[in-house]
Amino acid sequence: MNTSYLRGMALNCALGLDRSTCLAALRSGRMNSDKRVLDMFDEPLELSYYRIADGADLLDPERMKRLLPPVVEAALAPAGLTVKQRRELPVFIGSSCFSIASEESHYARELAHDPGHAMPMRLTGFDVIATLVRETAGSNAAAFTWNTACTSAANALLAAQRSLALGRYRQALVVGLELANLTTLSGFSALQLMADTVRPFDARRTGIVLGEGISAVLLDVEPGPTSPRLVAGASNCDTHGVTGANPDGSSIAAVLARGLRMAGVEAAQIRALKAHGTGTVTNDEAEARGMHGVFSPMPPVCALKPWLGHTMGACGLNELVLFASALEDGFIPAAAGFETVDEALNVVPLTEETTAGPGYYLLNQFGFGGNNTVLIMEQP
Amino acid sequence: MDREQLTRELKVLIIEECEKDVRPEAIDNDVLLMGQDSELGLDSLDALQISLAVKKRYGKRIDGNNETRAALQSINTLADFIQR
Amino acid sequence: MQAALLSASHYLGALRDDEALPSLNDLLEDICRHSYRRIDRFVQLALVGSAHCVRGVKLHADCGIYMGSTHGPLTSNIRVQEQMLRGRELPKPFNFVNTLGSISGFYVADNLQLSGPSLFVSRYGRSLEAALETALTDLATEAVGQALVGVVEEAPLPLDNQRLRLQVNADVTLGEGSHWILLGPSAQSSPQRELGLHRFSGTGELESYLASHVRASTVVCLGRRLGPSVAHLLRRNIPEAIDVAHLPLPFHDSIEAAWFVDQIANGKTGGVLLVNGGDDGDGCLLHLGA
Repeated sequence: MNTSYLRGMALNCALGLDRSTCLAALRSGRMNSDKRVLDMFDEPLELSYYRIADGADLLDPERMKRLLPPVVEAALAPAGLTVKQRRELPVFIGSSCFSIASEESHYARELAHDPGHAMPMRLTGFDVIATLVRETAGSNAAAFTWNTACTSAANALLAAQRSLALGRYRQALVVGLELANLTTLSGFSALQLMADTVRPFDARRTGIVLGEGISAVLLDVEPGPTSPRLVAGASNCDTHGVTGANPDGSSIAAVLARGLRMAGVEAAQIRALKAHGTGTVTNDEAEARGMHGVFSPMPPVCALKPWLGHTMGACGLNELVLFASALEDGFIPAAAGFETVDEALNVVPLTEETTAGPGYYLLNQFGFGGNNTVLIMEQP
Repeated sequence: MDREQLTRELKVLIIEECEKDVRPEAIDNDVLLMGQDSELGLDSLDALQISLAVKKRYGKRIDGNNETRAALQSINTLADFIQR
Repeated sequence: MQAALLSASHYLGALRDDEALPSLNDLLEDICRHSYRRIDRFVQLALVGSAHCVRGVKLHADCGIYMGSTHGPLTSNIRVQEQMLRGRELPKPFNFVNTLGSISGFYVADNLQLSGPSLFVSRYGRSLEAALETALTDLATEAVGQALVGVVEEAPLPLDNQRLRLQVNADVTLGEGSHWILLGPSAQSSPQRELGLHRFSGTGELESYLASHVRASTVVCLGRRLGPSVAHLLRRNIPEAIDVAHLPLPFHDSIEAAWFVDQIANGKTGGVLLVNGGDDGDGCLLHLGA
């Protein structure tokens, strides 16, 4: 089987418009969430949000066209691909929002001007992101778009890794995208899962804070000079409930164990773990139990959502890029805002930045629909 | 509003919102609504759906704190909450 | 890449403009372990199709689910948009949750008691390829021991709106579909039950493939997204090839999947080949009985 390397990586999120800005913000402890008010409902909705600071109107449907191409180009840049290599580059996309902001904008306009003929979901289909990515990259190869809620981008990356392992492709472009939209903001409000501040694993945690972010990874069978290796991963499904895994942690422990097996790595070899850590009562409980079921002792736990928010379908790739970039820079980020240990969970995320060494690192993602996905990478 | 009319309305609301296949008459006013061991076996997602419908219909907000849990215990506690 | 075809099922229901969507309740009662509430049409179609596919087959608990769709859970998405933008209120929790692709896999997994990966991977008009390639990759890397692949498309009412979304004429009969294939590891002993997916770029590669893999008895179908040179080559070399666009089938955007799964569910021997894409990369051959 072929090895896959993270040959190129790029990120645009609340921390910054590119990786180096994100890392600087991480090191300086600068968190950028602010309050938004959505007033298109009969009762205005106020919530915290981690937005990309592009200066545009948050719900402007044209943002994807402006923000996505530079991220794709930044991920492709280090490998210096030929035109032929770009043309043959398959794309693997993970998102939960897709182009819903455009749909919303379109429908709202129709309702305002011609309510009798207004029709929602007019421009539908899962391909808007894939089309834009292919155009930007110059690709005319296969395209795959994942829609598995918060594990979408992680699943996309895992499929790319397996495709390269088999030799189906020599390179793959993986993209995660989440941009602000009414559906996500109001949907999670209706589910009463939102908090003012996100505190993963904290006894006082009350929910998520949403965010937006776009990331891209060029996966390659050839490494660059410092490329981390994407070793393997695993995915399973827990039918306990549609909005989360069994709180007893059993399905999460199962996917962790399976991921380690697929990677040929022992639990004791994991140097640190990037948690899903959404800050909801139930996710963190299930995740903590699952981790305890496999890790004894628990490796250092890193939780990134206080830095960029919960970026939904893109979070698996956004957080991997942020985490891998920090590792490359020699550190494991602290979990901002953690204060009070929850004795029932007994998981204490890193409260101080720690030195990162070479070795294996594990990343968790879990989503609605009972989806659990774990990824294992190796830092050289 | 007449109490009997309200309790009947609430039963119909819960049945419709949660897509339960029972007749309103079959729901006792004091029976537990929520939880695996209850008659109706409603869960937290059902509670949210009911809360949204109650707010829309009666203008009373049920949010994710102890007040919610108390209000959604039974048809009677829900009717009490609305008529408060 | 290839795998063994274990079973397949095909549901394609024609819809009439002047009628409500036909009830699936009887079918659901027949195949569901228990009655599911809070599910939408998309989930209902997925449950019916997947259960029929695996009837009488021994399923491994780690069987993976690989679903794809052009439009996905469209009715739930429509409802949420209407609640928010027309109604100016928060979407209802069930409707919002049901807008996610993974929800249908959840119910399929629960009904069939599966705990393997439950994935939703699509491509506009070519979702069967996307889901199938992902499944074949997982089988080949032994991430799963079996793969249940499904393509589901809804046609929400009013149908005229759906015709606008699909950009088809008012006289086109629409359909909703649920098309499923169960695969196991490749078994060289039964070549006629081997399902293969091969990518090609340009007419040269396609010609080689046709010469070595296609017999007189192979039924060949041309997808809607064929490149012009590839289409020309196929029509010249295989004059009896079927054009999916000309088939009198109730239409949805995964109509190639409908044709292909129908053929293999009906036990066609002699080979079934679907060709799509192709002129400048991105050609795909789905072949049963290679």
